[in-house]
Amino acid sequence: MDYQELAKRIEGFQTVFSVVKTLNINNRTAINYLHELKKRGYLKVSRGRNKIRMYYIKPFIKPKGGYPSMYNIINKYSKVKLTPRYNYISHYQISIEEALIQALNSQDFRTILASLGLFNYVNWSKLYKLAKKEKIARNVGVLYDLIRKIIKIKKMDKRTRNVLLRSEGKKYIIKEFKLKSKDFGDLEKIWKVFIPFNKEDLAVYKE
Amino acid sequence: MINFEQQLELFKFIGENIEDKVECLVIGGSAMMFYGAKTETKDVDLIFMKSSDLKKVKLILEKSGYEEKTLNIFKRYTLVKKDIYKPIWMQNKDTRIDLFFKKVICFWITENILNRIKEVHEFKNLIIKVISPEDIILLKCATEREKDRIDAFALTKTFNINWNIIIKESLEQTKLGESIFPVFLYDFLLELKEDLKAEIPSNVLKELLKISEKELEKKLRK
Repeated sequence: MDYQELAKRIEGFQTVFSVVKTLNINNRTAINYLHELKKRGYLKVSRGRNKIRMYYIKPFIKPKGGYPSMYNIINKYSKVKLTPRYNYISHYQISIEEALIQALNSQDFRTILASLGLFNYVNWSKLYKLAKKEKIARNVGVLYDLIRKIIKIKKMDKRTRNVLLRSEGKKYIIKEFKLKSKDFGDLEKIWKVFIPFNKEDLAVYKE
Repeated sequence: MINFEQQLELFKFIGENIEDKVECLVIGGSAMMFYGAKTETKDVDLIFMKSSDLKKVKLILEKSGYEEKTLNIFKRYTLVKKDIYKPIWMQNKDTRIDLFFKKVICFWITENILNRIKEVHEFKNLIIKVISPEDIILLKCATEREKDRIDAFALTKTFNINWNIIIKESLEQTKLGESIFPVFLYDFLLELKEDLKAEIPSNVLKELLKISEKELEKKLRK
């Protein structure tokens, strides 16, 4: 017996009597069907007028799935974890590089901070292409140099570094607050990008 | 009618074909499908907070065979030329998509509604935010359609509705527009409770009745 198909046939509000009538079956069978539907999560019981049992049948159980979102990727690879405000569901597969770029575009202080942990796992050629498209290649470069000062990170090759230095970038990593760093002025000068983090912010990576 | 799978395909198509990131809210039956409270809907309703985002999605839809049409209920908007809040109705053979900018007929998307969003779906460049069940009920209360009552009942069965949120938002909407939302809401909830035996606390209805009377008095004094 395909119970989803059955749920589709009798979708909506039903009583035992209406199920008997719709499916042309006897009372006992209708009750058995309703019991099976309830067991499978297709049915909810309520009371209608005159305390009649009413069955709300939906041939649908909330779909789960999708691919790991930016938050899932950051939480998997980075030492700094995030609890997103929303239940975030991605319907297409994103790479670590895309997650890093999305984090930068989120313009959220904590998301960007947590995404720094992804630099150990990136493919630089992919990351450069994405950053160039978003016009934030220098921002990516400065954040790489920044996290490299704090934790051990895979080295970026010189060619990529030079390309990144010559690329476009935005003056502020978080545009809204125009934050500048007290501790990383040297990096800000090299990359011509203001960093929103101070040493204390990055201490979480050392814990 | 459009089912959940078709809706996902539609959003994937838009997300893959649009060049920049676009954000919108999904309401009504489409939002209910994301919550698993409905299997299919008559139309897909999207609300944009940026007019540029709306234009981009409209362009993609036009390129894929959708045509802009005028719906009877939107006619009053056509009286005012260049009304930026005029809803756009896109139709192809079997699917209808309604595009709104910042408000749905007389219902404004407030900061509180945005803060109540709990579920976000990402389709490459299309970000879909699903409004809360409380806001879906509030949006449905201003219509006269029987289906909307059944939808609202399904929501009350599926979720633990925070009725205070609904009452507060109805007052907020009354301040913003011309319609007296608490009155619509009271009638709507009363019908749900009496006809469909929805579990709506009596004190919620009593409070709404008081608020409705006050708001009506205010309106009459004006």
